[in-house]
Amino acid sequence: MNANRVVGCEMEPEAEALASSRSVLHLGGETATVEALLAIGRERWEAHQAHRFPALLGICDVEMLSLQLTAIVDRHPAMFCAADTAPLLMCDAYIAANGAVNGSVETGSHSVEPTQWPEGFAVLSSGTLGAPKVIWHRHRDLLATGSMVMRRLKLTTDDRVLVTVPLHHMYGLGAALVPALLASAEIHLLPKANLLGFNDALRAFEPTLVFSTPHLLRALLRRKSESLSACRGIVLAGDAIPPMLHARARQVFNQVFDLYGSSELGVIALSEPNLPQALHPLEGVRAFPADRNSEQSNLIVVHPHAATHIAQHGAISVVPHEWDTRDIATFNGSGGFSIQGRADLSLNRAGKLLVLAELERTIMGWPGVELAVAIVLDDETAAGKAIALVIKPSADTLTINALKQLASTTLPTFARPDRYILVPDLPCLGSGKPDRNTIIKDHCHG
Amino acid sequence: MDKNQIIDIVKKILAEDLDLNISYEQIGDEASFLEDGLALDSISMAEFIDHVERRFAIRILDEDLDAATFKSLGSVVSLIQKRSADRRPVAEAL
Repeated sequence: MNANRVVGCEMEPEAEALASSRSVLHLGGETATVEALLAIGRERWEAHQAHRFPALLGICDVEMLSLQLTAIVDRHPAMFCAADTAPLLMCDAYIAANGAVNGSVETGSHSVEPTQWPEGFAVLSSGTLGAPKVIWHRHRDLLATGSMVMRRLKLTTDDRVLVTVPLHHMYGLGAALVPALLASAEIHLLPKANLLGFNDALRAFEPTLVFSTPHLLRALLRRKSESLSACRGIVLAGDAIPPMLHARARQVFNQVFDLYGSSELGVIALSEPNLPQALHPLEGVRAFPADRNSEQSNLIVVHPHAATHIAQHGAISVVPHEWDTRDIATFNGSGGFSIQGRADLSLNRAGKLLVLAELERTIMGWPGVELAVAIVLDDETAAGKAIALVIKPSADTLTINALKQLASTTLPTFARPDRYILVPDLPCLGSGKPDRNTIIKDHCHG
Repeated sequence: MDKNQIIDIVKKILAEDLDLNISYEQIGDEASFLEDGLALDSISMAEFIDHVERRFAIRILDEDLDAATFKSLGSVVSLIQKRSADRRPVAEAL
């Protein structure tokens, strides 16, 4: 079988590059080349010809990966989502690992005909900040952004790339897998990584570059401090990383690249190694403040390879040319920027903007603090709404008096919390991020 | 502390201290911590190790964090016994 054919249409250059990749991939104890994966995938897609918009439920084995890669190269409409995603009316089949196909939602039962769906593939946003969204990307945009990431990270065929994040999200797929494939790097995929699998892979695979998240890294670095000599860096995306964790990551992985992106735009910017405060947009991406007269402002991005459409609350809309990320950014003189936190998780205190994520990051750098979540209380103070810090200590000796002392010597008055709450554990979402809704419910009334 | 006492404490950690939605009685003496058993994710695994370290006053090392060690409750018990034995000479010396 010719690995580079596309039924009924000509292959675009980036798709050709992906199909020609010399990458060897390791997943779930199996090893496969891209050519072999495309051969498997094309055979399997034959069986799904009748499905107009199938969902691939979890990319956790070689067969699912073969379907996903073939969908990208051959431009099959499909949705990539987690294995436990609830059925969506717009999908007419649910393809899971081990060949299981659930076609109980038949084509024709939709309120909108599938022929009206935008072209491309879709991902499902996690919905941790609101209602879940279905986001459509064109295949060629995914590949174009992947190519830019490959160049920025200087990925080559000599690299051994460890990916510890799910492949149905734009981070695992667009920032990690696709760039590594375009570089023909060797790739070890751990889409359901836990601490043990991560540590096993670091020892056995000896990666040169690792893609991970702060929460998995935090668990690992509590017990790992020796430098990995073969590794040239770790790429991190997600919540901003406290300086102490960043320093420990540098010690083990030698370089840390901070990556900023979203489900709607894919990868937006990458930092220079070990410079988390200086994110630089990818080629052709424009990032600028909504308010050019303010030091801190919502970040607006114009991305040439952004998603095209978003479906939410039953309606499909076109992604605007200028996208408000709803993240607050600070710009430096050289065109770089740093993310302070979510605009909807910030408040005005004594006439100043307090970004809760920035406060949390600072406090997580204090001795004895493992995790910190800032919540806004209903009580009013002279500065504005009261703030409580819910803290999971890393040492039994941490006291509220010690925290107050640190706040008085290191934080400006408007940023000092009004209350501290020490807890043995903080509830977390499946993604590893703190479950803010539960924390607020548990503690907002004291 | 004998093996059965350690098993009892480890089962209590799993059933009572972690958010696994599993009861003490549902945990077999050779239960796996991996995908084919309790399937602890990275957060639960980190929390489990924290609890074990505190409850048994031991230190789980980087070299202990591999799938083989956490393949079964029995192998985790062996690790706890090993790390407890490592700690003893230091405590006695003090």
